Amino acid sequence: MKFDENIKKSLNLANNATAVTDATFKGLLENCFSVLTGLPEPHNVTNLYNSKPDLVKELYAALLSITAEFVRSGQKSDSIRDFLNKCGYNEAKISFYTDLYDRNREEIEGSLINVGSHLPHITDVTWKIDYIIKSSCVDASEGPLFRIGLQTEKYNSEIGGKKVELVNFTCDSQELQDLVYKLKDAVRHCQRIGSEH
Amino acid sequence: MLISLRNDHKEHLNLLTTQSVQVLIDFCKLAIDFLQNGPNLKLYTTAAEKLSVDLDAVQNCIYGLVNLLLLSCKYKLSEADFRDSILTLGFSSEQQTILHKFYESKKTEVARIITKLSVSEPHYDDLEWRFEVQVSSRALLHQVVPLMTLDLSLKTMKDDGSGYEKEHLLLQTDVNNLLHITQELEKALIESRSRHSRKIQRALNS
Repeated sequence: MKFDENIKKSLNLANNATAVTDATFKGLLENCFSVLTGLPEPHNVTNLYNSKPDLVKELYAALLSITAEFVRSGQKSDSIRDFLNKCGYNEAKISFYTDLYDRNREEIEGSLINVGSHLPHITDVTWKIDYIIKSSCVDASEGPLFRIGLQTEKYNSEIGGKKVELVNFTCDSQELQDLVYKLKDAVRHCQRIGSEH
Repeated sequence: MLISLRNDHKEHLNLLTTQSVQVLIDFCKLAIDFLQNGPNLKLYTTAAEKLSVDLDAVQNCIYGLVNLLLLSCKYKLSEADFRDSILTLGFSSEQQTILHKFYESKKTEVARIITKLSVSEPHYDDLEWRFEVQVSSRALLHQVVPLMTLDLSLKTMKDDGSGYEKEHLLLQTDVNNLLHITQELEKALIESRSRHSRKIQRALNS
């Protein structure tokens, strides 16, 4: 785990008890973990600034950076403890940090997993069965005809969130049988892998 | 059921009623050739010279035969209905047999094509799947995320009916959703074979 010297210097600001009180430090950490899990900040940042807003801001940025990096590289609380110790943090601060870290780590991992480019993800399916009674070309009934809609989710940068799209297609009995057979084959494969390990 | 032809259609076919069986066979062949390769004016001119009629009359005969075939397929005429329908045009029994053979020979092919022509929408073609495990990414170095990547291929009839346009959709899903989708689609399949569905199907077919 290597960090830039600048970040270490910024982290060191927390040891300046006049600029950053214990309450401020706790507030910053709670904000930090909330933001990384995708929730709004529980404390209003301006209330945490005290007399030295620049220092508090710098410390906040550094805390966000190291927390994201810890989760990204999968650090355990032991090595984090070592690292913060080297930054000159006292036991109370370190425990407070590692406590929050252990509680929020999985959540943050969850949001980090979703960062990146993914194919549209299928989350649901709709189906209906139609019978064609008559059409402009043929005067005879036909069916069943399955209309299938796959609901997919994909991250869309324009709206800054998930966008749901439907993939619609039709198939007849035989083709649906083929589709189900192939999907079942895939499910069986997953189950076999699951039971082997 | 009987089909009633338009008057101009009847007039166009009228020329054939007076011709020999061999000529009728040749015209049926020309109509089949028209279905497969489009109009062939050279052949029509030769035919017109032989019968000493106008080129237009020959062409109208061919189009008339093709139209008769399409109409018969549209209404899925049985042999008896087909014979009765052309009886009113004045064809002899022998000629009716020839025309029926012509209808029989192309019936399935034409019926298959016209059902597909009606409304073209994306249709299932094929599905390929690949099981993957995402082990690392820039944002998270150590992870184990099982994923199912699916290549869904759909086909849509081209506007001119000359074939299919295929598109490949790459999608992914997780194991839970895969199971859910499979079960849901299987339900649809089972439902289509249920008593209720079969009852409706029988009611519609009768």
